[in-house]
Amino acid sequence: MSEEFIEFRGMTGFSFLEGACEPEAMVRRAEELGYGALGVLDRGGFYGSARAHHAALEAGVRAITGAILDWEGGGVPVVCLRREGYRALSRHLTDGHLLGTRGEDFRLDDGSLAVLTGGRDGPLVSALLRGDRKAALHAAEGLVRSFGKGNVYVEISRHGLRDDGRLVKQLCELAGHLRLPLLAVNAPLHAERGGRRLADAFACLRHHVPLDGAGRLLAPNGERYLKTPRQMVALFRDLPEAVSNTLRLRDRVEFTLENLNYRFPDFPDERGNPLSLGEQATLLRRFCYAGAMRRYGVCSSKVKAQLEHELAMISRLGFQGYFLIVYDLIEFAKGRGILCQGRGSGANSAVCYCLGITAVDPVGGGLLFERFLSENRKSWPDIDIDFPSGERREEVIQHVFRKYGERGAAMTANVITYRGKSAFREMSKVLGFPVSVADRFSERIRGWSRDANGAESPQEEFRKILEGIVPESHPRFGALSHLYHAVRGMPRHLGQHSGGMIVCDHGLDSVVPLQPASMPGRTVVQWDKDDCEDMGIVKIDLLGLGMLAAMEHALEIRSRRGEPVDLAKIPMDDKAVFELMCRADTVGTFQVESRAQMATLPIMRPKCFYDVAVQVAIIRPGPIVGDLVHPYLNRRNGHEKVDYIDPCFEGILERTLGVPLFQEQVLRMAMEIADFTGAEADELRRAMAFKRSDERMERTVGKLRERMVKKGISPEVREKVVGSIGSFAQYGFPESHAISFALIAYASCWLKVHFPAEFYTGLLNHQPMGFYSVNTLIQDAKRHGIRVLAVSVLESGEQTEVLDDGKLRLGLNRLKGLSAQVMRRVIAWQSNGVVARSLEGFLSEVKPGKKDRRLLARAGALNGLAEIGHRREAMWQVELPLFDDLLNTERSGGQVLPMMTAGERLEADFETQGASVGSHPMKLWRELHGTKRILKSADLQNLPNRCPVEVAGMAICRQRPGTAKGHCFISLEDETGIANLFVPVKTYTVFRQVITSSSFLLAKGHLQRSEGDQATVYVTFIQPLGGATDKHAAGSHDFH
Amino acid sequence: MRLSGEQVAGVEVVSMGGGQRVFGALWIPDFPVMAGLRAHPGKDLDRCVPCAVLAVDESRVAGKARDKLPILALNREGWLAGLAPGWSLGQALVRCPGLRIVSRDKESEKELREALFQLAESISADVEMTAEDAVVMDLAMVRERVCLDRLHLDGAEVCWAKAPTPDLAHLAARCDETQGCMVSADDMAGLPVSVLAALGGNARTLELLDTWGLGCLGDFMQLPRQGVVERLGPQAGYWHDVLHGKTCRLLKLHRVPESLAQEMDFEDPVEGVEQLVFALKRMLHVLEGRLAARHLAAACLELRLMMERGGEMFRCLNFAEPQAAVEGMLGPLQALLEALRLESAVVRMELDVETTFATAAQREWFGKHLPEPERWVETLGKLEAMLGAGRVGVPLRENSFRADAFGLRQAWLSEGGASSYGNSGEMVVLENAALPLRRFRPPREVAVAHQSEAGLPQPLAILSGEYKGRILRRRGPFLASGEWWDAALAWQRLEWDVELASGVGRLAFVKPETWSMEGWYE
Repeated sequence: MSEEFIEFRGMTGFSFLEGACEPEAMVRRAEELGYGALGVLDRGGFYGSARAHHAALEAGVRAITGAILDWEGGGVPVVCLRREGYRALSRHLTDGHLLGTRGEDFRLDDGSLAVLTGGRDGPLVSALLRGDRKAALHAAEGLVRSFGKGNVYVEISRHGLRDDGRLVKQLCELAGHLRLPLLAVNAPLHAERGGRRLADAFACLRHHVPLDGAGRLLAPNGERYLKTPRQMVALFRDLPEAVSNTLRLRDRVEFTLENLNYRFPDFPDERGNPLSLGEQATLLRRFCYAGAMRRYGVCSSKVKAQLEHELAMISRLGFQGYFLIVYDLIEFAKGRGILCQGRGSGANSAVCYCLGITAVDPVGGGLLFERFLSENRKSWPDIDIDFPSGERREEVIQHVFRKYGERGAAMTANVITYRGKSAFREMSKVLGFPVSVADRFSERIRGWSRDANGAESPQEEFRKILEGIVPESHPRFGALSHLYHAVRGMPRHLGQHSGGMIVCDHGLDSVVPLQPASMPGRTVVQWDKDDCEDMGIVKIDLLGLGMLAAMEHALEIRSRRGEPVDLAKIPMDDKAVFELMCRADTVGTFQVESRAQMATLPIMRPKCFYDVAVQVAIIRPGPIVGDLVHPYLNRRNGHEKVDYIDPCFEGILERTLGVPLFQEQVLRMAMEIADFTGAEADELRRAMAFKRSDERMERTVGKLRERMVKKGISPEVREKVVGSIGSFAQYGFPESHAISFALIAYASCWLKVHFPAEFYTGLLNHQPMGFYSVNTLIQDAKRHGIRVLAVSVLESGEQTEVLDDGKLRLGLNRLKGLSAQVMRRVIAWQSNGVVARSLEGFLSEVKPGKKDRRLLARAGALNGLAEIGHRREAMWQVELPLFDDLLNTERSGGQVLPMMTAGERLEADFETQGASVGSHPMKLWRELHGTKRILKSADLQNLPNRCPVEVAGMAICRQRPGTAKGHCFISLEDETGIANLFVPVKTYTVFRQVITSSSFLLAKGHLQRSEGDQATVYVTFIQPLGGATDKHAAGSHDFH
Repeated sequence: MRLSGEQVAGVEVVSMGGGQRVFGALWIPDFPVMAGLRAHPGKDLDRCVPCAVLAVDESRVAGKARDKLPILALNREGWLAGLAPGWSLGQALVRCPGLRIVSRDKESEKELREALFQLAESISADVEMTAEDAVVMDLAMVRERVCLDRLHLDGAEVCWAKAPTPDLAHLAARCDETQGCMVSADDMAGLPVSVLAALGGNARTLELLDTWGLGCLGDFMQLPRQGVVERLGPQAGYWHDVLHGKTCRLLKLHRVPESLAQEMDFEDPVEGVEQLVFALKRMLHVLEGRLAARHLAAACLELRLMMERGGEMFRCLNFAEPQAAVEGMLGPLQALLEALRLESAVVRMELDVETTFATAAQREWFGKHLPEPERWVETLGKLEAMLGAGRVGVPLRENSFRADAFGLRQAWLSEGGASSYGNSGEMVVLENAALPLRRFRPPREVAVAHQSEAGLPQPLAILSGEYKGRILRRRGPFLASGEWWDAALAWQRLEWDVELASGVGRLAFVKPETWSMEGWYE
């Protein structure tokens, strides 16, 4: 079929709240309608171009790139004809975002860009609609001046409106007057006619009005969809040149995003001059071998062979500059004393290990380098580096910005899309439903996604939920249902990726437009990490890890105290560390502290470092959903025979006892059983990681099945293999990643065993992080023999500090709401050398505000001052205003207020700090109300299986994971430890209200001793603990 | 409101003026719950079950947020179940699964308040509405024996206490320990500190007293007054004085607001306008005097006529400018009455007024908005009498693409007061007809011969009506649709300009199958 028409004005959801379909949908529809090319032009940038380009490549359609530029009087669509045009436009869009440059300042008339005069929101038509023909002529002349005469097209459209005829007539006259070509467009906002509804809803969101009040802000009809070329030809039968000009303009377009010409920067020499590839290869080799000597001591033939293999591959692929730059980054961090560690597939590389990027020995561990890099892979390698979260990571990020310049580096974007709750909330608001409808939906949708794995489709499930909220007979039921499904997955706004950075050697702004990030000092590109990867742009992930920050702090304290510790040199076979794990004493540690991890550790009983890696990987949704946990544990403990699914997998699955736990194993299985090539395995990996759509996964799995059928693999094995892959598609976890995480997990356990004071101090100073509240961490520290001293204005620093191996002093930052200035003034006051410290002196020098004074007094932080006997005494005294008279105010007045009781002190601690260093609330409760019948958590350890028990405690964790079929797990803390409760779904249903609203619980049931001798209470009855007050409760980690 | 209970005979003797002052306080405990229960007498709520009123209307929140709503008030059974105001609903339901939620009823609360006031007024002429649930009476001038024990209101318990100062009486009435007693300052020591909230003032101060660990008012009373004032300010000093009986404030006596409404029953049914106008004039003269005494003017008059055969007529007359003189008010009313066609004679006439300040409606610096507002209102009144209520105003195009959609703005509102039509960012669509269109209202339905092209009907000839004939040329279709989000309101419409032998007209097709001539180009 010969082409008749090309649409140049497609807009997608990346023209935020304007376009009403995803780029892929627009391209797919274009393919269906027989378009050979399609222009995707979003407002203010190339936001949707990358995705449109990728979809177009798959569909065999040519995606024409461009953007709608802000111009005086409205937006004008600009089409990129040549690469120079694209680069200039990208730079100009960047200038617009960063410097506020206006469209009229843009000038490029060499024919590398073409401009259309725009629609009703453009400068020409809006002037004509005002009846101002002079302004329209002036605007057209302005465009001619900026883009050159041969590059301006007068855009005409017919949308079935009464004034179409008059506008087209006037535009034709104007085009004739200036001798400009006409160009027919339909400027689709959506691929199909029905998309108008979502476009209208977006118009409402854009203007903050409901549909009922939007009136003429909405589209008058539904004609802004992608029409067939034949329809367009028929529509402009009287103006055939307007249609044929679309083909002529298409012929002028030389540029597609394939010719982006992105280049990763070459590593520079000492003087800043970029090195050649050969020079970079030599340098990389030198660094690698120097690192190998440091890492291995002696460079064995095995190590040498692996390094040579990797270096050869890196040279062939031309990635030496990339490795050197990451190495440089790591060296910068290490030079600043910033703890860092590479993870992800980079940990499979001996080069990365020798360069100090990763801490895992891939040679010793037998890791698969091809998972990281192979000749078949089109994309750049991906190295993720963990840094301590907070300021230290920002230091590294700012170093990258400084090194490559404001226009040479940027963060990758994160496209925030409409998800279940936000989709329903916004669409119900637009339709005029009360907020309570959305609240009810949010309440009911919890856990829906996991239930949707059942037999019913998500649409049916949604319908059921909706029917419970809005009756089906409601006149807007259909519209709500339609809009909800239509908007799900649509882009909502552009965010910033947590750590993904891209750099370029010749101005990143000419590759993709940059815009300011919400954080000062950062810029962000208009594409997300997947788009960047699709475009071959290299990303370095500089991620923040709270535990690294805590560990770094702990090590810093240790070295301040005169005994520096090098984590790289700690023994990896420390018996005490494995014992700690085996008894599940892992509160506060990395990755192995959750309730589920602690329940598995005594069964798993890790004996070596690799066991820790398995432990980290196995308690994940993927293996749990895939029902892989129990087979592994059963086989490990000899209760089940090892089964390799197929004999050909024995080598691959040997280390994990026949259970595919890691992504690498799945890829190798596919290569082995279905003869997947490296490229195909890589495609499978990308499909597993590609969260945007299931389509890629379905295609790849289809191919896998097909190959297995061809090879005559039995249906049973086929299903097992596909099942393993399906689990990983949701929550893939590579082995190298698990090992990297296991290193941190092991190190955190090692610190807890050997330097608990430093360990807990690091944790307390980097909250919030991890699974447990500060109070639970303090209780755990106390159980480990650490004495935690309360906050004091005389002794406390800004942060919690180690006093000696068994003693910590909480920092002033533990006081909720104490201003930073007051903290600084307290520290300064402490150091001024006055010996007798009176309240009067403190108040007059530190000058805390009324709120701060009350907070300090109530928390007991003033107790050490000369005339303060107890907290209430301080509370009475601080209420007296400070007059700063020549004569001091008389503050002493004897015991006016009564002293706080232990319970009151506890209440005050929780109120001011969220934690208490005093007695556990359960200890106080037991003194007043306790009976022998109600057991402590420690008592459970000595009771036999199925023994009826009653246990009480403070709920510190309530969990109902999607994998638990509705059962609930509760952790109850008391003065002796933590009791684990299992609440079966039938009990949970009855006592849901009690479980979710009471901080202190009394549970009755019987004891279950599972494998690993873990004591769990199987709950049959639960009630609020009488006599306990919520004011004595710490925060609980609930339903995350 | 029906009052019940013994109000005269009693056993106590109240001391007379000249001796110690005595104040009595009445208090309805759990006021919102009692009012809520009174609104549903004996229907679905059993008073013997624990009931609560929430601080927020629960119908406005759902799901988990509902569980977090705080309880505002409880009935006695709720208290006995161990609940307390301030608890979240979730917590309360855990403790007391049978808890019933009573919706708050502001109207019933108003009625209960009025009943309480009337009860107090039946005892003493000097009554203060101290709080929404409490009154304080000056009993010094009461020369009769009053038995407060036997006072009660339908559906609500009334607690009382007497004391030498109004505040002590008010506080004492609220506590079980001092209820029904004549208390002195010494008796207050055992009461909880939280009762001070009844005296008003800063809630933060009360919180602070709570954190100070003061168990009862006695603890507070023992604090040095100067120290308390230095720390907590004069409000706390005042509380200190009140508790020690050192201060006796004056009551803020409550007076019922006067109504300006008037009514007149006619001995003989009135048929003629003159009689009505005459009666109305008399009422307006009274109104004029009352308005003048209060320095007010009328913003609108409400006239209600009751008919002999039942039924009534109601008109609300808005004035463009506030009116205080009979002449200004009578003219429009007279015009209205003269245009009325009543089905039967009038037996009763009621006149009410919405007042405003005389200068309230002047919207310009140096003059009035309308030169002769009385005539303007009179003219509008005449028009409305001819066309019917709600059919006079300024036509404005509606903010919609729907054909011929317009609404009426009230004619007496200023431009600024009118609802704003159109939006700044609205899509501009030009009408594209050089010829004036004579619109048919309503449009004239016609039969049309048509064929289908690309899923759309194309008219060929008009087969019925005044403008029959073959369509020689046509322009269109012009497509419009809207309100797709509401199945009951959705519409879709196609329009053509069609040329017939007799001229050019506008033809419309509305889904599913209606053809109509919309107008004719002149």
